[in-house]
Amino acid sequence: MIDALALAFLLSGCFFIFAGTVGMLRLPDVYCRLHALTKADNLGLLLICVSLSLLDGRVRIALLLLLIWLLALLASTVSAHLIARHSRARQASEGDGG
Amino acid sequence: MGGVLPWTSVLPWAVVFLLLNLGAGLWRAWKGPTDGDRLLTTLLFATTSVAILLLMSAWLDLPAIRYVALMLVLLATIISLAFFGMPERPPRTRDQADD
Amino acid sequence: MSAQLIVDVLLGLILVGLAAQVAIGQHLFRAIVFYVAFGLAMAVIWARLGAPDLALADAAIGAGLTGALMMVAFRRLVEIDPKQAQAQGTRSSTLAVLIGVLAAGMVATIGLTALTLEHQPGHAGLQVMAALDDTGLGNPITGVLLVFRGFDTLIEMTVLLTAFVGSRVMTNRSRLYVATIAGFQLPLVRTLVAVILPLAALIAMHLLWIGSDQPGGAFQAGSVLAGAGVLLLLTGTLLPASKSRALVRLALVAGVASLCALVLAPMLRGEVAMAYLGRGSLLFAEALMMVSIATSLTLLFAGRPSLKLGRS
Repeated sequence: MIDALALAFLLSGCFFIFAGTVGMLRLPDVYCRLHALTKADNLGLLLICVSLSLLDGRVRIALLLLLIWLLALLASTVSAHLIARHSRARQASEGDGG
Repeated sequence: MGGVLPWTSVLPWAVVFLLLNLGAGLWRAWKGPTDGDRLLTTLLFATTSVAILLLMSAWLDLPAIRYVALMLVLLATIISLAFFGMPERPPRTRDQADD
Repeated sequence: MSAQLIVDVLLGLILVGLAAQVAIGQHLFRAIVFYVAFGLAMAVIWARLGAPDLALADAAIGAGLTGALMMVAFRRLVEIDPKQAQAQGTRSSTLAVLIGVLAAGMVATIGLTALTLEHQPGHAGLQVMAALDDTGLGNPITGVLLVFRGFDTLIEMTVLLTAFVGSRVMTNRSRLYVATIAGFQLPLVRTLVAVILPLAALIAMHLLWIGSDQPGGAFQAGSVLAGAGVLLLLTGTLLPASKSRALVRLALVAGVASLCALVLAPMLRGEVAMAYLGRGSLLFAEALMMVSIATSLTLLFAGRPSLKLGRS
């Protein structure tokens, strides 16, 4: 039953994105929030992509969605790293000199 | 789209859920003590918008929307890159010799 | 309560809320973040309205380019006047609210009028769809842009060129502010550029090629390349250069020139100006337009008339 599988993936994908948002709102620190957001959101996106690939059925679409997910992974990784690095540097400079 | 479920009715509800996530994420942009926290909202928006666009592509049966998602995710790092250049401590004018 | 309705209402609320915050919010950095979010929401709304061409162009320009531009401008502002970073603004928000209310009133009036308007029997949209098969194109947007309303596109490209010239006049004597981030030594950033650049080129070519029959075309392809150009500028792969080079100038005028060629070439054959010459001619013009758009937007971001390679 492709349908049930696709629905399961869709629901779990939405759940993980929800988890990421909750983490972003509730965790105490910008670093913790980055962790929650990037990991959970990317996993949620992957599950949604899998669900949509199952729904569509064509290999071409599945490959396109895979590419989109990989790029999202790259973008989140670099973005998270840059944000964290900058926050750390700002924290350090406010700590001793600011 | 095959199957038993009426997918054109199921997918919009997923979009609604993701949109609610977006709305909730805006709170962090409002409050987030540091600027880095606010950038998190941009990250959330980017990833969730991609998910929303992909769902819409299937729901509205517009395959071109997938390319919108592709483009969005391709250029998503630009904001974080621009932010990273923010000075860590106040003014240190950066003049680079130009041609 | 259908899901479609809830989607539309939520999108509308998010859009208006973000717009209000950008306009009357008093914390500058927060307003920039909201503006980027606004751009992304805009792209989603274009998708919802079934306008992939607009969504494609808006995703690149509205969400990426202008957001980065504002971020860099804010960075420059903070260096000049550090108080702005935390400024709780002395801007009068009553004026902004007044303008907002007036704008909302105008939009409401136009919207209500449009909703109650009745289509004329022979209205332009129907005629375009009927005549589209004769042109051999599959994408009505491209048909309108380049075949039925080609002169308008010529004027648009001229406007872009004029905007660039205007920006040159404004920034010619100003001190250069290089938007490069300091972190290009980070291996992550190098990988990012190495992956994204070829993909962007590929996607741009793809959008250009399929633009004749599916959503895509010169503007969309050009905006992807412009986004890649901004990426290169931000990471220091490309740097602004003051000495304007012939190749860059050629790239800037190529779009206008190709459209002028489209206008004049039929006249050489004795037909009316800008008569349709076939799909090949459109692709040729669109390719040159793509180059022009990408170059103009990248140079507008750079603030200098040319580019040079940074240390790579």
